[in-house]
Amino acid sequence: MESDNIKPDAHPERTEAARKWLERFDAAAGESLSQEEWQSWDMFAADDGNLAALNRLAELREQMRAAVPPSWPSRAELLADCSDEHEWGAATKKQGESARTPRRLGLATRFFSNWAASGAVAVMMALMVLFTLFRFHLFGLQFALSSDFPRALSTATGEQRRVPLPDGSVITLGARSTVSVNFTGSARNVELTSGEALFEVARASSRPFKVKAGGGTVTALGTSFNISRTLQRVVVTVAEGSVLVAPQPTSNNLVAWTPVRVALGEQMSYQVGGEFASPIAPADSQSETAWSHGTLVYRRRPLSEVIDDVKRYTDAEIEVDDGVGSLPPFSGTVAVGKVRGWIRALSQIYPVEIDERDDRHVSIRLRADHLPTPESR
Amino acid sequence: MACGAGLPLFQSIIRKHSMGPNVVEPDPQGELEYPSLIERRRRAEQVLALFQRQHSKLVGFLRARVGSKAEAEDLAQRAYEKLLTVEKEGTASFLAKYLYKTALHLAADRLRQQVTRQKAEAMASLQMPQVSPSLEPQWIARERLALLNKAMEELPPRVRMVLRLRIHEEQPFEGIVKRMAAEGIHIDVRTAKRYVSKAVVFCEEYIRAAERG
Repeated sequence: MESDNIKPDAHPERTEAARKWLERFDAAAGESLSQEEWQSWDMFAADDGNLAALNRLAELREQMRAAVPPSWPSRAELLADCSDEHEWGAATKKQGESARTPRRLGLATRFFSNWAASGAVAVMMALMVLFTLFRFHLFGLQFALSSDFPRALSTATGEQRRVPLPDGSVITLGARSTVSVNFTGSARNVELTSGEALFEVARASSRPFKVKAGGGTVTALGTSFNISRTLQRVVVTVAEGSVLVAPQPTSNNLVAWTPVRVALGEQMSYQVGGEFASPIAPADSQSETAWSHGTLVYRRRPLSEVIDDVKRYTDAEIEVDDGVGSLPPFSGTVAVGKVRGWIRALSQIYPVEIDERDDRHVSIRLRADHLPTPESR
Repeated sequence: MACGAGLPLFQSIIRKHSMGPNVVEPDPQGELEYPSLIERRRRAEQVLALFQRQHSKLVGFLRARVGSKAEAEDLAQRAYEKLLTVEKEGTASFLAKYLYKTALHLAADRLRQQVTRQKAEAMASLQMPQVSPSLEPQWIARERLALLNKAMEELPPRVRMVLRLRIHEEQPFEGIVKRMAAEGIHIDVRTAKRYVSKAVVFCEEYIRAAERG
């Protein structure tokens, strides 16, 4: 494949010439060139190396679409970014040092502005830090052995992250998801506090791998599985091996539902903190884990739940009218980077009105002619 | 270099055009409605020569514009096909210009259709249940994708935002400029375009540096 050809850039001048053409042609699909431009294009294209450079850049630009969209910068970050021409040019050239310095500043500003924006997150993070410190104190020895591995992991809107754990397991976090990880010599405990995660668990029979989520515990039996948590429901899908799903005992020691073993290609769900669990059903584990490749796939899921799920991939606040709950379930796919377009298109298959007040606020309402009539209430 | 890939399809086009309904009834005025077989064969040879010399250039030229290799190849094919049927006589350099011009026209047509098509696609993705994501293979190695993700995060904030609006939200540059202005960042279309192209180069260098270790 072409991407294999990338070697140290021996010809930065070719790359720069190719970049200029890439820029010239961007969004100029059918636009013709002036006489001089034709001449310089002919000169440029006469050299195979130049052409190869242009193709390399074009290919990378195409691949970007398959990548996770970069996070939105905050307003503060944008204003603080004084990367004008020269600096930015320099940053591109000496990527090693100078590009990272502004980034670090950026990270700090983003971090603090997010904190300021959401007090709740701040409180939660602070609690997690406390929790971590407490654990650290208890199991000092173990953590000294793997000190650089993070305890609490969370992702921002639209972000996905693959995190290898010290035992060889891997957690892939969906957008706006949080897990806390607590490994000891005899147990591997993880808690999914929000969002969705795909767990690929390394075998270690002496240290069971358990994930707590919304009032249930999923114990891995040598396996890979996905847990998706919305406000009301936790869905467990098994892609490899099997898991044991059991309710967490409540304070009065009542067991809400019967523990079940979910095997390869199966799925079950339970109410968050509630007393109901669904029977085991066959599932397409490929669709359930497709999000980790940039596509959200749904099959007959209640529309309100789907919207709840895609929310994690857009900055906009989405308000959903109660009536939307009564609409038929949704089957289909949503591309991670195109959630807004998907929402807009909803009005074409559902009797809903999409109101985009501004970039950050969208409301989805049942269309007037579909509102329940007073008699039917 | 890239000639190999498109060749079989191209040859089949050539065959179609240089055979075809080869006997044209001589009409009373002695004027032919279609180019004769000999003319068609000669044209086919000219176009084949053009294909061999220009194909990789033309595809590179189109790919940078339309943002997709497959679409660029397709446009190029159509341009050759058109060229086979034009009745103008011309030298090789005239035909080369004509080839590019035709390809540009086709690209412009396609751009016009794009709005409609995007709408249709949005509908299709909603209505088509059970689309397996494996139908759209991402031809990018996992490690490279991870590096690309990282590289994009390392971009300066303004550049990152412009890139995301362009690549992932597929906004036109005019829209991007307005959106940035709403955030208090005043840049023009040229700057926005430059940000995108520089971001691509930055990511390439980032990946290269990381792969070298």
